[in-house]
Amino acid sequence: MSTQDRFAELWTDYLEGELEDHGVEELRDLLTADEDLVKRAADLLQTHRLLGLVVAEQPARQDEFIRQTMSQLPESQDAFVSHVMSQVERANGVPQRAPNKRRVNPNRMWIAAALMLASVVLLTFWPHGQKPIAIDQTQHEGGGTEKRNARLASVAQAKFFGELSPPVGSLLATGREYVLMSGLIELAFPAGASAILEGPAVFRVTSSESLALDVGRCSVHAPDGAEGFRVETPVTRVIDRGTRFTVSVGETSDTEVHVIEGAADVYDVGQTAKPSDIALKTNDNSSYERLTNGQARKFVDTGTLAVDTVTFDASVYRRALPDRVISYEATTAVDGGAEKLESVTVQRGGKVIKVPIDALIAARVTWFKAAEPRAFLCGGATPPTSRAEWSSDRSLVTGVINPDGSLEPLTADPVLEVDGGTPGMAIRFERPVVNGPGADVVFFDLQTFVNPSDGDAFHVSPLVFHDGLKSHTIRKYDLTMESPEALDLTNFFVHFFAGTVRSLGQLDAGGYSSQNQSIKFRGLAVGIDLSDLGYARGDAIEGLFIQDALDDGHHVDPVFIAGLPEMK
Amino acid sequence: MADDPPYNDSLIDDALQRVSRGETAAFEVVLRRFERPLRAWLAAHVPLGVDGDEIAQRSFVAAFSRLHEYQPGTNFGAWLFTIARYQLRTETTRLRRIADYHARYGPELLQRELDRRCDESSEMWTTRLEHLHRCLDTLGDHLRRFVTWRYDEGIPLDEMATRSGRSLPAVKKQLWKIRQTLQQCIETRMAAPGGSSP
Repeated sequence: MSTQDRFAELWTDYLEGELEDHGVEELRDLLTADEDLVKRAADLLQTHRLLGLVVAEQPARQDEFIRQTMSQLPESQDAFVSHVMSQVERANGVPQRAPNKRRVNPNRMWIAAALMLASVVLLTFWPHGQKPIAIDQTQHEGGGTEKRNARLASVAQAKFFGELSPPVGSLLATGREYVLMSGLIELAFPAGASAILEGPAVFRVTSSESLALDVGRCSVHAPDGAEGFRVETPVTRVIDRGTRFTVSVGETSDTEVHVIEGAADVYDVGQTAKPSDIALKTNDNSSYERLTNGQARKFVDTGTLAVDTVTFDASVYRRALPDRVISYEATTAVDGGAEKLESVTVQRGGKVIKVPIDALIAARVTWFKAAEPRAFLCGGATPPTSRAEWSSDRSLVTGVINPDGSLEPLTADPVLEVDGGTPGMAIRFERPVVNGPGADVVFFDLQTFVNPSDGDAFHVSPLVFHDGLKSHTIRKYDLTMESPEALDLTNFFVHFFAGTVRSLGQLDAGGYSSQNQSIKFRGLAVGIDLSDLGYARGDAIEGLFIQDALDDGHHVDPVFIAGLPEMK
Repeated sequence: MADDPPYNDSLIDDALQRVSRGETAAFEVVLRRFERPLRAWLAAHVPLGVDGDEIAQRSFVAAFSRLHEYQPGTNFGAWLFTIARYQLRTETTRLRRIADYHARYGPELLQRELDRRCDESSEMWTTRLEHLHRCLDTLGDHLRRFVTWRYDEGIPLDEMATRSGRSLPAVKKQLWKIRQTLQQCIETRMAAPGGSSP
């Protein structure tokens, strides 16, 4: 056997992890004897590594890399320093060098020493440290951790400080501080209790049956079997006794408790050192205050815990997250990106339903006006003869995009004529859409990372105004760039028009140049509730008028609009 | 949709400014822009037995944490790669100090050759990755399936043998030939006029 053939055998075994010790020795000898073989081995190794990366370049895996990296970003410089220090300790004395080769300034040494001291203090006295935003569930397959941790059950427009929202269904890390800047989330605890938190809120899951709320509001439901669930605030500990209640904590830690159903016991946290003490004191009326159905109290720490009676307000309790688009499914194109919509899952009237594409009521653009030349079409390399057809197919990357708009929403019927026409676009449904509970129309917008992360704001108006009807402005989508449920889209072309477009005829006739998008876009989605436009329940509408809100340099890019079927 | 071409320098600078103001989510723009070239460069240079993506993530986290040291308006990519090179060197140094590292992971000569190549331009590795994509497209389905099995599904060699109806040595030989073919294809494309430009 020639050296080359032997190298081929050894090298393949090496890459496949099948090379025994004596084989490694033999390979080493071959490389030592032939310098060209070393270069060849390095070439092949690098190509082998790139092959692994080619696979990792599928959009879903790229996205996973991005999410993992984002979740590792420290919240502060201090956290990073403490992390580095822990690595230094682990490396057992390996010298660390700065990435740039500057001379060491003696003053910098003092600063570095101070940072090291600070980080040691942090490591010693900071009880929680930095933990991942959610627990990797693969670590818990077959284990018991899943049973002990609270799960993120659902989210609605949730935005966390300095990090992305964990995916729905993920387990939250116990003891980790979460800062919900806006939106709502629902947590499900192992014993059956659930808590809906409204941003802004700062909270921690402290055990399988307790939650610490430092600021913000949460609505708790503890069904039979989940009694004893606790909400700990800076001044109180609220123990559920089989109930629905709301806890609101202000910036000065004052705590309001409203009991909607059943009963809840409120303890002075300063008087009760440990949760276990509570069980011993449940019959001691002097150590806690029991609130029952329809009662509300405010607790303020003034050295001792002062209790005020406040007006009970049942509306502060949130039974469910708002109606919204929850997620959607689409076909996967050859590049791994989402392409054709298959179904939409929405919450309507508090009920979660999955609507297949065939049940949706398609819409088509019937009027379009844009006074500035821009990209007005997206889709394949060549648009269809009737270009507005792209607005009515099921693809999430085809559409008539970038319509004009107005800062102020319409208050009268849009004018759908070439001369003096209203900037924007009109759509008509293939059959009337009946106003039901929650969202009645779903609207998809394609968006990339350099666009507004909440989605392109737009006004939606009736085609024909009458008393009681109004325009409605959507500024934040249900599924934003930060939503794990917003899918990465397949690649598409954007067609830039040389002139303005003031009618569908001009859209069909206008010259354009095409550009293949080289960066990833995501499909954002929002539900439009016809009640927000003033329509009465049961009203049937034939179309809508869409205008960009002109709130920034980005225009809305509708790629799929459809009505939801009437709820039976 | 914005009218500007995506990911020009001003957009990156804008994202970095937002990060500096505390908008951590804006760092995703930076990640999207540099994820591919950094992962490609690291994949080709990380020490044997080390996950390049781990070093890439470490580099991004370090860049985020030291953003106050970055001078706006200068080449952020170059700055990021400087951090990545430092992270890579730190890891290599750490591994060298593990007594039996090369006995377990392979010849030191090979590692030295990889180290020597660290000074090659990062852009070149993005180009090589693109060439590899195109080279893969030229493989017939009967060969492409081996790549899918090995690199996508990660199935063992004996399973590949069962699926393809070949012997284990024949499967190993096939993998060797595929890697050789792809390697040659990349080199040919790199040598073509304009082939080494990103």
